[in-house]
Amino acid sequence: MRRIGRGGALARFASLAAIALAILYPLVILVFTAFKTPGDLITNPTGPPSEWTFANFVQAWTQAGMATLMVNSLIVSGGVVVGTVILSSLGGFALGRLRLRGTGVLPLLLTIGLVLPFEVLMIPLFYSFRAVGLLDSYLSMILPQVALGLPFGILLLRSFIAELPQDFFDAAEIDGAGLWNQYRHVAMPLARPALVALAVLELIWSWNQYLVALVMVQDPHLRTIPLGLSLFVGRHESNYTALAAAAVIALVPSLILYIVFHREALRANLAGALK
Amino acid sequence: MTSAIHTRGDTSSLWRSRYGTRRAWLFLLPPLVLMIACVAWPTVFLVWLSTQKWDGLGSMTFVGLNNFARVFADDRFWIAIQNNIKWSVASAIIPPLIGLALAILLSRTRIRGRGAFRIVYFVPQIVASAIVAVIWRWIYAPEGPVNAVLGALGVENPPLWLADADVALMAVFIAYAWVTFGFSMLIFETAIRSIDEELFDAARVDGATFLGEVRHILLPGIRPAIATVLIVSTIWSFQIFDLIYLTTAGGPGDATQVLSIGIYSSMFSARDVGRGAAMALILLAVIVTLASLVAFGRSRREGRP
Repeated sequence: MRRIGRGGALARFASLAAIALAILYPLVILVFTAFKTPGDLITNPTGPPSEWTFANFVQAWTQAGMATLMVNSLIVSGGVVVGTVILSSLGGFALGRLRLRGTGVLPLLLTIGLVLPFEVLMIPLFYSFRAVGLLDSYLSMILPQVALGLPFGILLLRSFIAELPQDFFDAAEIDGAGLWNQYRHVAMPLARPALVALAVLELIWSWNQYLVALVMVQDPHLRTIPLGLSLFVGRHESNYTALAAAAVIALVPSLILYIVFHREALRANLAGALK
Repeated sequence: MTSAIHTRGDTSSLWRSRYGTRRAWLFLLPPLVLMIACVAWPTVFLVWLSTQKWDGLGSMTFVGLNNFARVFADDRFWIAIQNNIKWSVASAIIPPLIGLALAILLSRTRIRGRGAFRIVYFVPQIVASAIVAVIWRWIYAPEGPVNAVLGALGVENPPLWLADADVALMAVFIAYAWVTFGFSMLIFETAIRSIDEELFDAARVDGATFLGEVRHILLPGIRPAIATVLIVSTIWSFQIFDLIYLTTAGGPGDATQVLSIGIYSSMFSARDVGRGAAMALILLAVIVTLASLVAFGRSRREGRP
């Protein structure tokens, strides 16, 4: 097939760079807005600030309680990632390695579970958690996300573990390794790529998750970043410079994570195409 | 079969059948318990709630299918369904087309560092809806960038975008497309790169044009990827909540009303739990139907020799 752009390498680079700029432009506008004074924003809505100010960030950081939001997001996302990875690996090992009687129907049920969104279950989950007194807790945000992530996680790990060579497990067995040791010392190290993909995907999903926190949490001390940001927006309707600063602060952790894990994130999104 | 464990017919089956029978269940139990508590039980409870009249606090009254009758008789529900359908059709067309164009560009441009461009193009996909909402609320603001540009171009009375019932849904969708095209791009690019390069060379020898190559080699070569993208985009799009709720909250009027917002507001604002549960079951039915069409299509494809 013909290569696109028969001009020089420079022209090709320029066109790809121009597209990159267009895609990133909404984020660039956000950053510009965050550094402007409100007066500057009105006369100059699109360009860079005429003078850069940090006042918006100070206002956003203190009034939106960003420090608390970040700690809460870390706890909730950490819990979701650890919970989903451990439970998925257990279930994936059981279904991929050990054919249990009566579990033939499980993969089918899990496939249905793949497409179940929180939107469908928010009403019964809210009233169930209320009934057992678990509303307004980290668990009320962590457990539903883990549970809804498990069908994907288990199916991913199951197919990965099922394709591992039988010889490894046989060798471990001859050495006297029980099921737990086969799981712990054979399956888990070999399944590392799948575990990492699952962890990165869950991290992105749960870090950005808004509705679960909105439904499950009233207590201001438990709000996550997306929920806290949206409530800050509600209180400062058209104070766009402060809102933009809060959004930039909220964006920084995601961007850092993406820069560090971009390889895994792209690969994981391919693996997640089924979800 | 007498053992509880079926192995793959290898030498260790005897050992495993004796040793692993009950222990194996210990691995399955923890995830199973959580899914029963937080997925299976809530689904059953949802069905039950859809037959009740309940304000969330007092006692429940059994009303049979009355909640469904009320939902189906409600104009707002049908507005929401229409918006959901518009949204899903657009989701199955626009972000995949942008993604396909970028995927072709990325995979067919021989240039060093194009991997870096893929990483950059994917960035919007990782931005949280709460942040996306802040960005686009400003972009569409009356004094914001879009109307500043339109004003500079001499357009008088530009639309109010998010506050204009005629264009609000489209305006929010543009933000959604900006977030989601990266997924299609990624799937398509991977698929394109797996096509045998010799096919393209042969076509060129035959004098095929660029568009001819796209039509006769590239598109047929990525057909499974196209199916995946269309299905996943459609299923995802039906659940849309965050972005609409955070930009227009379903308004102005009911212009951007969708099912998920109806479910949420039935529970929290209208205190009409039964109605919300009925709508949630309808959403569930739609999603499961879409997903089974997919599973059916996939099994037919795989069944072919």
